[in-house]
Amino acid sequence: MTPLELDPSNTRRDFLKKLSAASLSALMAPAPRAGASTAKIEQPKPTADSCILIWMAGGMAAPDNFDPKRYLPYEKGRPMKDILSTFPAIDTAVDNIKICEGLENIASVMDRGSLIRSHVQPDLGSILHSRHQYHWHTGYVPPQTVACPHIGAWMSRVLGPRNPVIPAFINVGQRLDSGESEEIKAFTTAGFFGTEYGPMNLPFPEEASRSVHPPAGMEGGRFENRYKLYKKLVDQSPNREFLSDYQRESMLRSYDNAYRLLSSPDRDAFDLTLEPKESFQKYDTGRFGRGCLLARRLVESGARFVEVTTEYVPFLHWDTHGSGHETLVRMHKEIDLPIATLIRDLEARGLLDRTLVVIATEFSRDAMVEGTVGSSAGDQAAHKGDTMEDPKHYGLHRHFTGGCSVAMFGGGVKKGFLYGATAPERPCIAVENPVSVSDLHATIFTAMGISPKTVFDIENRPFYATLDGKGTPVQALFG
Amino acid sequence: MNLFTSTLPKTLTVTLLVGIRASLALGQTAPAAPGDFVHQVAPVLKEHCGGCHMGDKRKGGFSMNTQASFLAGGENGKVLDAANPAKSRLLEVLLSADPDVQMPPPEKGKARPTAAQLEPLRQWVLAGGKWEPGFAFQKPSYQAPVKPRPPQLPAAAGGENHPLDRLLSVYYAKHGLSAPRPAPDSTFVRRVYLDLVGLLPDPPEVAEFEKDTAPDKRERLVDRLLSRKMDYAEHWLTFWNDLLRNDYGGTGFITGGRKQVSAWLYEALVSNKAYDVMVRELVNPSEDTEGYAQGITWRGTVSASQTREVQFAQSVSQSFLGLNLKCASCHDSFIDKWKLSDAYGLAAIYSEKPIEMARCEKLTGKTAVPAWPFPELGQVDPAAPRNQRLKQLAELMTHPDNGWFARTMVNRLWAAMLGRGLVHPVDAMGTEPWNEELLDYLGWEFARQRFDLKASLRLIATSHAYQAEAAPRVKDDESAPFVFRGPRAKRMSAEQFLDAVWTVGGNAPRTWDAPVRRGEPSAELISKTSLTGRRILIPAQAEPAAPNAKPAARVAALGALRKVVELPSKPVRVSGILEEQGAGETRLLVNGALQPVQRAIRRGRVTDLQVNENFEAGKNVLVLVQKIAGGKAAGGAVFAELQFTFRDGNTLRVATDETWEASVGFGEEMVKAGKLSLKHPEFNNAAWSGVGPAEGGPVADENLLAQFVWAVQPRPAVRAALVKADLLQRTLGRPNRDQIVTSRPQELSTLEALDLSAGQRLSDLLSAGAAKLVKQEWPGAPVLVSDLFVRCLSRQPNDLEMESALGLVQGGGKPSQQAVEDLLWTLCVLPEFQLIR
Repeated sequence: MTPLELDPSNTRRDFLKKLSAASLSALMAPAPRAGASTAKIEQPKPTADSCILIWMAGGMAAPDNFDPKRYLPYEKGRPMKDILSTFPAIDTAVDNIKICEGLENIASVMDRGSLIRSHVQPDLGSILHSRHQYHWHTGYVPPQTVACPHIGAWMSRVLGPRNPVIPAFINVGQRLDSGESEEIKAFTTAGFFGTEYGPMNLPFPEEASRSVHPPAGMEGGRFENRYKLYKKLVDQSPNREFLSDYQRESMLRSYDNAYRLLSSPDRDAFDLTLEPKESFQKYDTGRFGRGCLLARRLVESGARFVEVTTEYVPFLHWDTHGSGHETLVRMHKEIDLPIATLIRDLEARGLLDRTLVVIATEFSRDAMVEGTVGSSAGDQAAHKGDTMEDPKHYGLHRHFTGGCSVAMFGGGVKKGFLYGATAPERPCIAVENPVSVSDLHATIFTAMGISPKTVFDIENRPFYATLDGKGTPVQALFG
Repeated sequence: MNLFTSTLPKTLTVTLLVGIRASLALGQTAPAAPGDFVHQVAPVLKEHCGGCHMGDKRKGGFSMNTQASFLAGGENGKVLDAANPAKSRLLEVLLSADPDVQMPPPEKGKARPTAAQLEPLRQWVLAGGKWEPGFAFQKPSYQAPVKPRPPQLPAAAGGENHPLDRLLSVYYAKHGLSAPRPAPDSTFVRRVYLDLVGLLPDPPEVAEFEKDTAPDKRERLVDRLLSRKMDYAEHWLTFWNDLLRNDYGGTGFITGGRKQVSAWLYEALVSNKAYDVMVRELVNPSEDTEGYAQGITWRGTVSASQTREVQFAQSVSQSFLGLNLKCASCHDSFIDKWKLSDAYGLAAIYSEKPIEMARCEKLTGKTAVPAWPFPELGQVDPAAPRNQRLKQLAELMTHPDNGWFARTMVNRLWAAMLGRGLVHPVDAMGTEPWNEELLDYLGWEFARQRFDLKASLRLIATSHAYQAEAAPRVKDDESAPFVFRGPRAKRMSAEQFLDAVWTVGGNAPRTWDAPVRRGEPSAELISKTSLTGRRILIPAQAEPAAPNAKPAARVAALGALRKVVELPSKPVRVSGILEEQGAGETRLLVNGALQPVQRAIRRGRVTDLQVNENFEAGKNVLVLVQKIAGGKAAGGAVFAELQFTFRDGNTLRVATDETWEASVGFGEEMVKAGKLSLKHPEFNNAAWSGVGPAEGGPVADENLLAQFVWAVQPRPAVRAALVKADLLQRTLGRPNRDQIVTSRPQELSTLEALDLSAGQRLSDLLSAGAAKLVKQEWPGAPVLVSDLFVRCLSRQPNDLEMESALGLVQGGGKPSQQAVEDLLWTLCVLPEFQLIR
């Protein structure tokens, strides 16, 4: 199928004009089609050229990170219901924003960005990480009748790469061959947009450079010679009648593109060993920290969208169903300095103004409430007693969808700005300016110059960048 | 007016004019009386309503294209009130001042009809809203027939006897085309192998075919390929898995919300089960087939359009009728005639209890009536119990009078074989085919042949149309009406590509994931074979040293059995079975190496063993060791029997018997570290004692014997369709089968090219393949090059290609593994390799 040339401002009318000469059957093609709206879509003027999504997979508890509440230390026999936060609050560079102990470096850069404390998710009746992650990454609650594109694929599809040799959508830190891999793969995809817009997956940042280097053993001109032979055989093929075939040409073009990246100096962006030692060390808190470094290097070289994750593995990292506090002490160490360094480095390079950095997660956590107030969702905490009897009971071990924090830096977002609030006492639901997934996506898309109403046709039905095209950007965040 | 004429095809305007002329001819002369439909009503409707309710637009499910659709109204009911015309909705919305009610909606920003326009319209409605007979804003678009249409075969002419070619010769003549030239033998042989059995032909098969001078050799090859039951099944499995969204792992399985139909499907394909029987078994399912109808159940709440029942409606209509009811699952479709009630009708047939229809997530208060969308063929009894309703649906769906059903499948087969459907896309079966007679004939013949899928494939594959040279595609050919000039090249599926690479390198995996039995045990062999082993006891794990010891200590001592085997040489094949009766899972180690196990085909508690690489000439040790399962390794009776086959054809049997030794005292970490081998003193010095047979005498169990014979029979290499999708397969377009997929991506993306150029997975496969190839004796590098060309492309290299290839492989005389690997890569990424032409 040949998708129509993309012009996201296409209207239904233009669409029909283009199709008027086309076969009726093309209407049902499994290819995206621009335009399906009756109104002219105006693409907003972008305030960011690149986007880095820092994904805290597994449910990062707001009260233990960006939204501190009443803190009480561990004490044997203490009632669980007394616990709101397991970390005390600390000051940040912004007077009216306090965050949790352990995030001192991030606190020092809070004046570079905005903090949303009122992000909310639907309950969905049963809290499954994969399902909420699917929703967060695509804007659509699974299951859906078509494979939904990841927001990175939307950027790839609508905006394309910034640098032709750097893939537009790069996904760092998530293995796709372990844990709930099938569920993760279901949204780590361009869906119906097709693989051209899908993610380049780099699960191990320190090995990223391998993905853009010829395979092992291809040294000493071997790779070039192999390519030369390929080109020769393509030219010498006796199937002359097929030379102009569209599919053949597109295949050849893709190999040329791949070869260009594999031999381009820009591939150095993928190579963390080229980073000066002093700088590398600031990021080297683990795979996630090195992922932040990779994201910075990629954005410097012209990446469009990079997701960096702490990796989702059931019951690991942020997915605390026991020993929450202890685990988060470690997680804070892993994320604090790399994230702050990323913000500072982007700023020092003059890139922060045009790079939107978003720190987000699929839902928050609470010591008592599963889902949200009144939810029928099954309790998934390991310890169900009323009191803490062991340090491993100390932590926020239930999934909470009623109020969650999102931090945004750069890319035209206000500096030192606090938006929304949650209740001071349990249930700590968003009580001011709730922001849905659709509205959050609308905000991110708008910053990137993509209207939330941008639409493609799939199976002759309109499919919007945000649910029903109705996501509304949080205008208050923009300066 | 402008909007309308600029967006709708010319035929509409022409139709309107035709209508007007017709009316003039009837003598209705100017000046028009108030309420004149042609002069005062139709133009106003066209100007103010056409943008949303004419042509392919049917906002709110309402189309004014024809009098019938106008009278039928939309989601909000009828627009004309025959009993009380003044109360007609049409007038209400046109005259209302309320922005929430009025039409056209104010947000469209268009001019409202003027009072001068509205008055005659009002008069017309009050007078009953009569249309000009025969008038239509849009000529009724193509209506696909439901019933079969008996084909009229044109006389054989120009040497074309094949029915499809006879039909096509009329088509070619009509389009001023000549029939496409036949593809050369080498092209045909590669194409037909890949299309029918999904494999590259072996070089001798190509040579033999090219040498054959019989005029019917292509037909005979088609028959030969279709008779390769297992190869056929394992290739078409991909097509069916996509169509039935069946897979061996994936979304939904983790929470038990999904069930495979793999075993049933595999048997159906091997036995060439009639298609109507297959569909009856899927629509009115048994335990083996219910996974399809059940769809995917997610934990938690799902949208109204994704309940199990509505999924059933969407799946059944898409898979078997090529209909898209996804729009109609939420609201009356804006693009075709299907309504919310059609989707819910199908859902209600499947539903255990009455279901309330929801429009865009809002309940409508209306209960869905069980019904299927083609009442002209009969209807499901809404009052019948569920199992009866499903049976009725299955009967209606597969009834020979349902021509739509037969045409949908033959169109899919045609598309799979010739690269593009007669109806395109294949899930828009309401669309006009580019050759209606051809589709009718294929469908008719399919039903006449009792829905024999292979007969249908044979009919297509033996036509000159299929056997013709592929027609190149030009980039924008989707924007012009399709003209058939020959088959289209198809991109290899991920499965075909991997199978091809595995075939060339001889390194397919040893185990597979699909829970299917490959091949049947030979009855003759069973009668000549008996088992030699006995069941023996594997000790339970040792009790923990202390009652409150750490878990690691509690599981430190697994029960194990061993047997030292002396072999005359390294065997070429070792296979057999393992039966276990105790609690816990038993594993086989060969010289310390854990053997892969074909878990997927465990039947009862019998496991198929396929062992290969770890035996050497001389002393070897076999170890059976338990694994902790459910917190324990409780021991119990085990039986294993292996057959070794050596290069000279001799065989040797080794089975569990009283000569084996037992021990307790091996921790899991020793198993993992490969220490259960003769090289390790801990292993040799452990306390080993003799075992007694659990039961007296050799095992005489017919079922076990059959499984043993089946396991030791040589089997064709494992196919990619049988294994779970790995990242390489995904990269190459194997879908996540959460949704039904009826066409794979035809273009190679840059990321895919990157993966094929730099990815370690393909590189490793080719490297292993090259290692095998260079071990063979080659009379010279040119022979090797020729051989690889024939293996990969089914043709000899030309002189230039030979020279280029030799330039790479002949650097220092004998081709190195590295050079062969590079040549293999080059051949495998050529468009000529990846396209089935």
